[in-house]
Amino acid sequence: MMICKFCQKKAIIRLPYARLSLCQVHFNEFMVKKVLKSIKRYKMISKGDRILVAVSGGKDSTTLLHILSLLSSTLNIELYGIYIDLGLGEYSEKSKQKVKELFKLLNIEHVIVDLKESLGFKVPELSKLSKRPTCSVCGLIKRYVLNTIALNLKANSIATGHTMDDMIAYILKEFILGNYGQLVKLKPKLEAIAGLMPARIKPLVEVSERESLVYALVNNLPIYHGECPYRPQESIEVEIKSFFNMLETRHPGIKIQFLRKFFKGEAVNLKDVTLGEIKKCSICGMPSSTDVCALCKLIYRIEGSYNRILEFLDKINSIELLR
Amino acid sequence: MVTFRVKIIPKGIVKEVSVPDKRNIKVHELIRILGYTVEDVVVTKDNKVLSEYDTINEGDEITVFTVFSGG
Repeated sequence: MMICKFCQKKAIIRLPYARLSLCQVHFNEFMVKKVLKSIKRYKMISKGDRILVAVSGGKDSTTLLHILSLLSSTLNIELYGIYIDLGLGEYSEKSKQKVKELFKLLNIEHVIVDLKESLGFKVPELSKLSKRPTCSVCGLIKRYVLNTIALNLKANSIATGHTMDDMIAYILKEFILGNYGQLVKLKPKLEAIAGLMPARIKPLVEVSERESLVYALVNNLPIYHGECPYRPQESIEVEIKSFFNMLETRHPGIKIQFLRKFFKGEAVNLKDVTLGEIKKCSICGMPSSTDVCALCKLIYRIEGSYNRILEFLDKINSIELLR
Repeated sequence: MVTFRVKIIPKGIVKEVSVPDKRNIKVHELIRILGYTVEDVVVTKDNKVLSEYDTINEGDEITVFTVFSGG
């Protein structure tokens, strides 16, 4: 029987990169400390911050909200949750149910945005009408809604459940595709732009998806461990993640080493890579790299008018906080 | 020979795994038989997370969660 390094009880997980085997109690402690260390290492949070946590119903964002709620008094932060119902059929329905259970369990003030109710379209409908890939429309909508709600709640930052595996996959994907300008967006903290964009933080940046899943399972957190029906069958990200897991098995610690060196700027000097100029969209006032933002352009392409986007903004800004 | 049923989540596939010349196997052996690495999955029995050195016996109902799911 494998035993815990700290209490000699039965271990539930072995973490070769940290040379640890841990029981449930000490694994939980390890995870909370790990997230706290990442928050400090990358200066993600300041005392008194209001943080909007984006929750999808999956293991990562659920683990994130649980750990942040445990750390909220230590860090002296206010937490708000948000779930966006993107209209992805049964996947969205099941996810939403789990997120509601989580918000109730943790007693978190939250907002639930139903895209069909507020914009009049589900993501797959928008994708079909605009002839843009579903994942691209989905990402665009999520960024837009998160930013809008965070500004409305006067949140300092938006926290997302991106893990170490996500970050490695995104970094390598952007390298492979030659999108070097995108690399700056992958920092653990993307600074705020006053009045336009709250900061973006990734407190699970040094947590693997395996650790995140074990944390959710041993704490019996409500998660929907499903697959989005629109996820591509052959996703580059998943292939990179699997490859790195194989490397990690043979060379424990290689993932965290790669990521820390990347963030230190040893491979790419992230200070030299900027987001480019961020302006206010002339239609809706949201952040954009061009005069008219991508969502306004998309709606205009479908309807020949911007009216719907302005109604959408009014609707989502008047959604009440629930507890 | 040892035989047990394995449910793989989120794929929802149920596999029957038989291993000749054994009365039980370790979790890490099952993971290898299924073609994964220890980093790729979390294995549970009766909703309890198993470590890679726990033993799986004849008739056990095992769930294997692949870690990369979601959107």
